[in-house]
Amino acid sequence: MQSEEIREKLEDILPKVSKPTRYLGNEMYSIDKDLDKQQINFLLAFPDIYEVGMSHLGIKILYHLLNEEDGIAAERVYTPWFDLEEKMRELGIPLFSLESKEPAKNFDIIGFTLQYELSYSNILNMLDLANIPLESENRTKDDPLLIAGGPCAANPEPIIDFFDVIVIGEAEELIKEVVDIYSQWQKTEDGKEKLLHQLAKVSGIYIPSFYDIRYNVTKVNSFMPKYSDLSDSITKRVISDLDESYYPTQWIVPYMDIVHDRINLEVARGCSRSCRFCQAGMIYRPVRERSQERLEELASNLIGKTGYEELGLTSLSTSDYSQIKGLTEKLVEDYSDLQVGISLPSLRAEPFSVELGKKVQQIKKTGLTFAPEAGTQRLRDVINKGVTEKDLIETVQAAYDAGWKRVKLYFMIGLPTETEKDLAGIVSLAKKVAEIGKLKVKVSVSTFIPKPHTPFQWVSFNRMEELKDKIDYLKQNLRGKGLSLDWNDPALSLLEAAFSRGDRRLNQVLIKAWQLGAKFEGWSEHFDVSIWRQAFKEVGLDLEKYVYRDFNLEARLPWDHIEIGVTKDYLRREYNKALAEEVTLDCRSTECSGCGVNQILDVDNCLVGGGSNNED
Amino acid sequence: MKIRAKMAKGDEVKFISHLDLMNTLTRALRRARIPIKFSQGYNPRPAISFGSALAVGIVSQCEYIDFELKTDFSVEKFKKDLNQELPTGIEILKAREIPVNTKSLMAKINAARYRIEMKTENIIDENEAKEMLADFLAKDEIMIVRKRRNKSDREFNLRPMVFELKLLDVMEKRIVIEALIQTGSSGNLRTEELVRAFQQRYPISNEFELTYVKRLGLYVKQKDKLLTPIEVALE
Repeated sequence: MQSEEIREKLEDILPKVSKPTRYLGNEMYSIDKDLDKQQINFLLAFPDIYEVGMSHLGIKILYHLLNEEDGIAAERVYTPWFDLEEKMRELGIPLFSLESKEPAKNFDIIGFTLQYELSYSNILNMLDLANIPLESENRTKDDPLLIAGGPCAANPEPIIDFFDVIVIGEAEELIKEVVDIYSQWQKTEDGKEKLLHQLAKVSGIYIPSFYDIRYNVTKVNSFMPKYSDLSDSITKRVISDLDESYYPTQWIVPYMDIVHDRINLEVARGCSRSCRFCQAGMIYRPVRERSQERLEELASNLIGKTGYEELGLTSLSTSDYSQIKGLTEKLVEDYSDLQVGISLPSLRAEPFSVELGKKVQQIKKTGLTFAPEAGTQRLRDVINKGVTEKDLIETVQAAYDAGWKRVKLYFMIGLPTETEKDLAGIVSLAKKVAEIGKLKVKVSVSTFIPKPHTPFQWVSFNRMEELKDKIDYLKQNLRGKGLSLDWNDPALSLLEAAFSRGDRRLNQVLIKAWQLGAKFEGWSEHFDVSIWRQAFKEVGLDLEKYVYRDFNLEARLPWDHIEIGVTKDYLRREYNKALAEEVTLDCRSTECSGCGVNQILDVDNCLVGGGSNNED
Repeated sequence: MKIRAKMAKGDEVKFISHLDLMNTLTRALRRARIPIKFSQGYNPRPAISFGSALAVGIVSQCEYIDFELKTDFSVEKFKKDLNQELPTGIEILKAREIPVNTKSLMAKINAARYRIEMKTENIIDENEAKEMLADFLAKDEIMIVRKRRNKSDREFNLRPMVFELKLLDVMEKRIVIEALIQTGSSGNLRTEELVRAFQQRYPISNEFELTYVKRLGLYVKQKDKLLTPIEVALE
């Protein structure tokens, strides 16, 4: 089916599906290029619905970066919601790009982002809807080249069968190299193997089919690169200077409400706080800040071109940005006349945050969110969350005095060494916060999941019965005026835990689960763990046993060939310090904690306010 | 100052909701640096008010909107600058300054004209279609049930809410009707309800399927006189 026919059929279908605006593809600043006239057509694919995918910064960056090049067209595709998928299958409409309604199969390259393990089944479903063979070994030169990147590429093993190429690290740094090599190859008669071999030489590119890996439980029994010129580890690619790196000066303004409907101004990348559970804190190192000057320039362009009413200053920990006070003041001063609200989505629980909050709330006052993560100081020391109860109470008091009425607190259950005392700590901390004036306190509890490349990568995931008991305990005790609680389904976390530390055997589980009807796992109303149990069984594994495999501190782990920048020695050291309840301080303000990232990646921490001990 | 504008909402944006349209306009105003007034308080809203919300899926050549500006501004420039910043499918067709104390659009507009296109599986007989409309107009009472969200269904007589009906075109399996019907706060008839009323009474319309609805005009109906909202404001 060609794009014209797809367009015609959509005319009839769209009025009958929910939220047809998702599929229009003609938003402001979306591209209108003739695909037939481009050298390379690149499809950026996000394995979730439009509202989620459109909120993602990475895709925005790549979309505009690629489209600014002559000869390249980049279009978008998101997962069609159930109602449209049903109609597409009924009428034989293949997965199509939003802009040109071009079948996905006709693109040269398709890039998927791996944001979340529970969206993997959607990737398979989208490939199937596109009539593209799922497994790379079954695809030919005529099929698109399938690339994946994003945070879950820190351990891509569970999903490598479906991709030809995995990007390790920051794609805006290397995507043009990939496209160039592809377009050179396209002009030759060479086979796909030759293309992959050339790509394998690009730093940050992992070609999974070139590595033969065999396992015993979690231990890697054998690891064999296919060619002698391949490195036995793939090092993350990073940008050394954020000011110099590409950032769009305009971006697509959607018609419909999306999850984060605002301009995101990324003030910094990376975090050096060393929270031991946090994968982002490890895999996005080193810390790199954008200059205030560049941020002001970007803000001016983006507000002028999009007309957005909100500008979010984003990073893993925005109050850590060294020029945050000056930047916030300047932006509020410059844009309050235009009624543009400045928001700070990730703040640390410290009084300084409230000071910042006061500056931005001149325009619009939303709720404040803080993440103490654990209920007692002991456990906060274990996880290295450098926030004290005093910090939190003082911060919330200041927020209350400044007029805030709502506070959200994030906690985790199932953290290593957690006892009943720590749970009781969550309850008492939340109650103390609620007692400050007449605050409404929403407690949000998620399940700790051990993630690769963190000090807790060896830690056991909590038993399901324990997790259920813990949630029951919180449900029973977190009651009272102004208090509310929400939590997530531990079965979802169990599956996420399986995939986050998974290995190559999971590729077949994924196929089975998808065949059994798995999709939209992240949407709890569509999640059915029994499908996954069945899929594991059919492949000869057991979901529970698989999650609770023994992760040995000394053994080679399934993701050890991915060099994310922090050394395994550092992670082991941090793991031991966690068990000894010892904290590690932020290397920005004290001495280097020796994670290794500056040596391995040859990129220094880059703080625009100075003060980095790596800068000498 | 206040500006009353007439706007078109085309095919490209027919699925966007009323709220989406509000946001799109607000963002376009900001891009165009038009000094729109904002409400005070917790959640400032721009001083933009519509005459009548357009249902999702319907295109229009006559949406009326009042804009309240903080300072004086050239109406010509308002139209030109805003159009430059509006996405394809949305266009300001006319803009006039109106007295600040003009009654709101919502309070005045009470009639809407639509072009309603339907298709069927069967070949349509033109005479039968004419008879259907004549019969409909000859009746005093035509009851229909309205389904309401979170409320019980309500039955009402829609005949007094239909002012004019015309057969515009009949082609094989397609029929086009023009209807002037009541709209606004004192009573609002939906095109979908009108079509449903046909379907329930006339065999010819059993299989009518709405394919395209376009709002052609919004009016202030005073007895038999039809005034446009701009005419009313400047009267």
